[in-house]
Amino acid sequence: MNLLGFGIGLLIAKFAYSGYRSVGSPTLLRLGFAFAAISFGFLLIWIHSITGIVSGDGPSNLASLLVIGLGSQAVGYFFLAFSHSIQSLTFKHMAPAFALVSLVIAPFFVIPGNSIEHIIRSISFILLVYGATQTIVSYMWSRRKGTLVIASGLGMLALGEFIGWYNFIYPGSMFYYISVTAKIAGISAIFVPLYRFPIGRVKVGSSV
Amino acid sequence: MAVVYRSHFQIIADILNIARDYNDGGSGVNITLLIRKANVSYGRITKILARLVDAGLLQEIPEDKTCRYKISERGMEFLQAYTKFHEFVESFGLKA
Repeated sequence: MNLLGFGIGLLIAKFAYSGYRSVGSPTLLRLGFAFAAISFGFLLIWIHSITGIVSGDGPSNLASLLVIGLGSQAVGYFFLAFSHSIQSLTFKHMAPAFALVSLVIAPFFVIPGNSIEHIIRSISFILLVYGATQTIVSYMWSRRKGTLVIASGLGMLALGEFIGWYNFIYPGSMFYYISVTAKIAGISAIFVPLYRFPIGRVKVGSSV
Repeated sequence: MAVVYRSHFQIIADILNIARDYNDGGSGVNITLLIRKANVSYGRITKILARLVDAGLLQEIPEDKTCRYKISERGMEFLQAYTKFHEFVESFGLKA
């Protein structure tokens, strides 16, 4: 399933980057970076899970790979949230308020974080909640159904990170698998409104 | 009512759209029409137009003491690409 996330993320990243090459918009570059990082994270998590199955030792002996994968995804979520925060400042939306709330909430998620994995998951969760909230605010302005689907996709990714973080309390339970399923459902939901774009066959033109 | 600012790329797209839509019999549009329709100041539009001409998206046609501007084939391609990627970015609730 993580491989599916890798494929979807890579397609979106490729399309966004080709958009940056032809139009030159920095927003497209940020989206490209974001989805490339998310996609790379899915790949590392997949390698982590598959090597654990092959060796028969379980996934725990390659925890650093999982941490790098989750870290890469957190960087991707940061770029998504960052794109929204730049525009929110432009449009005087509620970005500073959300940033402040996130900073206040952050310690509550970090408290049980004696492992880097759970600290990264809590940061990812906050960034995704911020991104999803801002996307919903954009939906209220534009009333585009696709924007609402992407917001719900970001919400699913946040839920996946939250459940994955909860795995810390009940290790070895079903929470890990539910988390991965929620994350794949989230990135698939993000891809749904983008199917109408010619992702995968892009002609690169000139930039300004 | 909230003020909605256009990004630099939206202004460029607006200028190219005007140059395409008001291309009077293939003779191009004058700068006054561009200023009025694109709602951009003279100081700013001259810089943008110089950049668009350099990039080959607009053709400059000298006329008496002034110039007219005509969208090029490359400009049309850019406009098509911009429309497509603008929609893509807007799906994320962002602006290109």
